[in-house]
This record gives sequence, structure tokens and C-alpha cells, in this order.
Amino acid sequence: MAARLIIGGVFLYSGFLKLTAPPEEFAAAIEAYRIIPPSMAIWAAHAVSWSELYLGMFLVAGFFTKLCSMALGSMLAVFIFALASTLLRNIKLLDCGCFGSGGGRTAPFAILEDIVLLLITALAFLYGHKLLAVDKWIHAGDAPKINDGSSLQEK
Amino acid sequence: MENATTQLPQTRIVLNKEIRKLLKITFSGFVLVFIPAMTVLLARHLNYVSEVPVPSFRQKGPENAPVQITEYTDFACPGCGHANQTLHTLFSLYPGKIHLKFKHYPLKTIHKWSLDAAIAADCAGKQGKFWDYADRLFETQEKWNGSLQKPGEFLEIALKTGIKKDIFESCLSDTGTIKAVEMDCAEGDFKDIHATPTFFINKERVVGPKQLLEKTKFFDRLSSFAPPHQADGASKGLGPAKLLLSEADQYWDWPPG
Repeated sequence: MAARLIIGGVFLYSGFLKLTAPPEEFAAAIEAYRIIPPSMAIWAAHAVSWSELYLGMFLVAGFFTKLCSMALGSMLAVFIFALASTLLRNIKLLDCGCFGSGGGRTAPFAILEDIVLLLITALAFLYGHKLLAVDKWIHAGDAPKINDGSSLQEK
Repeated sequence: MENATTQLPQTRIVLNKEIRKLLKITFSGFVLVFIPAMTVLLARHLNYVSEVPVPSFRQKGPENAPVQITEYTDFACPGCGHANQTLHTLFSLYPGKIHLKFKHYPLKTIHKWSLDAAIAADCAGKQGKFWDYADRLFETQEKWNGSLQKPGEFLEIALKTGIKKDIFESCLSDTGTIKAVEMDCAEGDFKDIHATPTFFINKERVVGPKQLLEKTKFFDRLSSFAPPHQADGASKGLGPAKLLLSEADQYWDWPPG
């Protein structure tokens, strides 16, 4: 549950910061990566910010835990790839844009941070749904599953 | 037949459970989507700030122009220098169609002399030389930006632009002038400006010279806004802003390293 709360909390906070600041500022940070055309940066900024907010919120609550942790893990992998590509292409990022604009994180530091978060996301994927999760409440009436994939009720 | 009648209640129980589960998912989803969305909207709403008045010497173009631009700039930032050139081109392409309000937003933590530059520019403005002085500050930003001691360029430029030295020097320490710049910074902070240059074009936020160029595409779509000789093409998005956009590649280096 701790892993779920950490990852969910980080993304919820990051999404909230990006959404309460003008999207153009985060779009400018995205533009600096030179991966997508500048005209699309604003759409990417909106999409990433809202995704972070909702996936973070869902994970904190333990709602579709496995699906959300997989989605957030994929996002982290994309972030790591994008940051590494700036290092390979010798692009000097003043700010990675990880927590909106103005955070001042450099690419190597942000890569390390994302790798740690990715490991915690794996823990959330494996164990996140077991304690104080909405998923548990939703499936409360379900019969416990046994090894052959059938349920006790069916037996 | 008997088998079918015993299976019916079991099917009902399973169906009821599935419906209950679906209701739980819908309810949880609704609550979890609604709460963050409302929080974000409320936070954005509370961020509303009224505008600090801009002195007339920091305004350009007719007040009722179809395109209203408010600019937040730091004289020491290279991106602002690029954007300044773009604005000059826009003013020559669309005479009388743009109204520009210039606001200071010196990034004091990374540019040591940008606040002094802003104050000096306002002092030049009080003698009617703001735009000339601002252009020269942008042109020479590399010289004075890295200076360890207070740059001599501020006075040099003032003398070159025909500003009276004694009035200019007394103005530099005038609390009213300093306060006007600080008010611009405070307004910028309230508007969540973290990067320069930031523009508000007809109240829409645009950050950096690259986005400014991108925005000019929409200028041409307003036929009333385009110059007369471009009116036909302009309505199809083929006006002079296209020329500007072709220069866009030179701005790939923003934000500067």
C-alpha cells in the first residue's frame, strides 16, 4: 500500500502542479526536448497533466490498481527514454519539466528519480491492491479464486 | 427442465452481483474523477488577478487594435531578444493592427542585472526613449549580462540615445520607478509566469519566441487584420505570418542553454 500511495501521491501532486500553472509553460518544457513538433506540445502538455492527475488519484485510491500502475510505469519509461535522448543528442535541459516548469531538475538527476519511481511502481503493481483499496471493496462479494482458475462457488 | 429451473435463481444471484459491482465501479469512478477536476478548477479560479496599469511609454500601437499583446520580458534573456525581433517584424507587417503592452519580469535569480536593466529602461521611458533603449539593451545583453560589477552599458546606451544624464541617474534610485517594476514582477508571479518571454495575445497565453511565431499563423486568418494586399490569401491562412514561420527554425535553441 505504501508503494501505491507514494507513486500515486507523486503523480497526483505533479499533475496538480502542472494543471494549476498555465499549460503553455509545461508545453515550453516539452518543446525543449525536441521530440514532438512545437504545435503539438500544448496538446501533449494537457494530456500528460490530466493523465498524471487521474492515474495518480486512481492509484492512491486503489481503483483499477494493476491497470493504473501499468499505465504510470509506461509513462515513467517514456520519460526516462525522453530524458536519456536529450543526453545522447547533447541537448542541455534547464528544467526537465517533471513537476511543471521551474523545478530546475537536470536530466541525469531526473533519470535517477524516474528509475527509483519505476521500481516502486512495480511494487504497487504486485501488492498495491491488497490493502485499503477501492478494488478490494468492489470485489468484496467475489468468491476467492483457487489455483485452477475456477471459483469455490462454482464448485 | 428441472435443471433449468434450479439454474435460474443462481443466474439471478450472479447477475445481481455483477450489477452491484458495476454500480460500485461507476460510483467510485465518478467520485474519483469529480474530486480532482473540481479541485483543479477551484485552484485555477482562485488564481485570478487584476492587471497592474502600464505606463503609456511602455505601450505601442492603437489602443483599439484587433490584436492586443501583453508581454512579460527580461532584458537579459536571449529568448526575449529573439521575440523582440519578431515583434518588430509583426509591427512592420501589420501597421496599426497591434497594441503592445510591455511588462517587466526580470528573472533576478538567474540574471544578476536584469532588474537594473528594467529600471534603467523605465527611466529612459520617462524621457520618451523606452523602445530605443530597450532595443539597444537586447542587442548588447551578452556584454552586460555576465558582468561582475554594475555594467557601464546602461549609462552608455542612455547617452547614445540622447537621454539627459542627470535626470536619468536620479531616476535610477527613484523608489517610484523601482516599485513600478516590482509591481510588474508581482503581477507576473500571480499569473504564474515562470519563463520569459511570456505573452498574452488577446488574453491567450503564449510562452517563448517559438510559440509567438506559431501564434502568428492565426493572425492571417483574420481578413480584417491582414494588410490590404494580402487580404485574399490571408483569409486562407496564406498571409505574411507564413514568411515569419519560415524563419522559425532558428529558434530551436530556445530555451537557451
